[in-house]
Amino acid sequence: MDTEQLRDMIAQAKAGDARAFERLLAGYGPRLYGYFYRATGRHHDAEDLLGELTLRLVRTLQTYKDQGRFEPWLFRIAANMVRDRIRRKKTRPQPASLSVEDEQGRSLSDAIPAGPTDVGEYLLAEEASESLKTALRALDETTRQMILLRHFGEMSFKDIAEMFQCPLGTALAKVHRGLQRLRQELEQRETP
Amino acid sequence: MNEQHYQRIARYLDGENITLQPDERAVVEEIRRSDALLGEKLNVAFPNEVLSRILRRRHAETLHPSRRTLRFTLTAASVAAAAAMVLLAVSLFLRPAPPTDSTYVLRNKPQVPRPGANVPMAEMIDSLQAVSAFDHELDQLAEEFDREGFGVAGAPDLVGETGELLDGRQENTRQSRDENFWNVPDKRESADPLEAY
Repeated sequence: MDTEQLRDMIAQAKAGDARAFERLLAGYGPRLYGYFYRATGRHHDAEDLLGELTLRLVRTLQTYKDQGRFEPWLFRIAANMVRDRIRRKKTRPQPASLSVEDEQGRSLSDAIPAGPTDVGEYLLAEEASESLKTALRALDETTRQMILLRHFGEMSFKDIAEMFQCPLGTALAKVHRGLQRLRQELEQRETP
Repeated sequence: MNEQHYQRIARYLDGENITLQPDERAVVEEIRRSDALLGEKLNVAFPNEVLSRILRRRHAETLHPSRRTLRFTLTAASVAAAAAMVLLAVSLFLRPAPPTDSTYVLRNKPQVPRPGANVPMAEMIDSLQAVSAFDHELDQLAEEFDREGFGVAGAPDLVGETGELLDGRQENTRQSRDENFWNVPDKRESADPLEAY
């Protein structure tokens, strides 16, 4: 999505054009969903957060001043929502439900056999995803968020430093060490 | 590597045109390799049905804003009305009652500076005007008393001391007696500062 196209889409969505809003959501939905999933480790939470962000976007898009920095603005909102969700989870127990996932991101409904599928491919993808999830969990919360925001939100180190209120060099050092650690963890898990 | 090195690398990766030292360049290469390796792994398949579910929910939410807005407005209006009533009641309760007793009026009688006092002319004139206004108020008060029958003017003046009705001559005698009584020079009058002017 180029800058001009994005600017038009935002202006139309601000003017109340529902189609423009849906296009905006379709454009950023996958990246936001990916960020939410990697940040929380659960598909259920990712969808829930994306729905919540959609509603918040409807309300706050009017306040957005277009200066060509829509992505940092959007992912800043997303990061705040993730932070709030994590805090809430720490203080409030979760109800039991078929759709609620455990610490590994599996829900009870996952245990119910689905239709015929390529079991081998599914298991490989599942295993790789599990390794990455465990490796991400080994990082501290700030470093994990910095790496995810840089990847999914394509945020600059300057934006990340501003968001986490730390010096620019510190933001880069954290990301550098975090990436090193992630690679090590993944190599250890993927080596037979 | 210190903070300054990392800062230079960060600015370089953010797109600034900076010439890096060899060890800084090595860090940049390492970060780029990690990005390339982890980039694909971090990406998550986005289920199409998620977007349609979210949009359906959004439509459902936006269908009812008027009802919610109305409810909110009604609640806010009720709270505002209740607060206004409480404020009104409190202000009425706390408002001081206006003074009605004559002692208050006399206690607050305006004073005129004593003769020979070193007072500016403007202040003197203000004081005299205040005294005149106060006298006017007293006159009005006296008229009210008379109207209500509490004063001398309201008393039946054709009745003698023993209760008998007086004729014209007796009435004249009584009036002259009353006038003599009222014409007795009052020592307090000479002390009235108004006389000096």
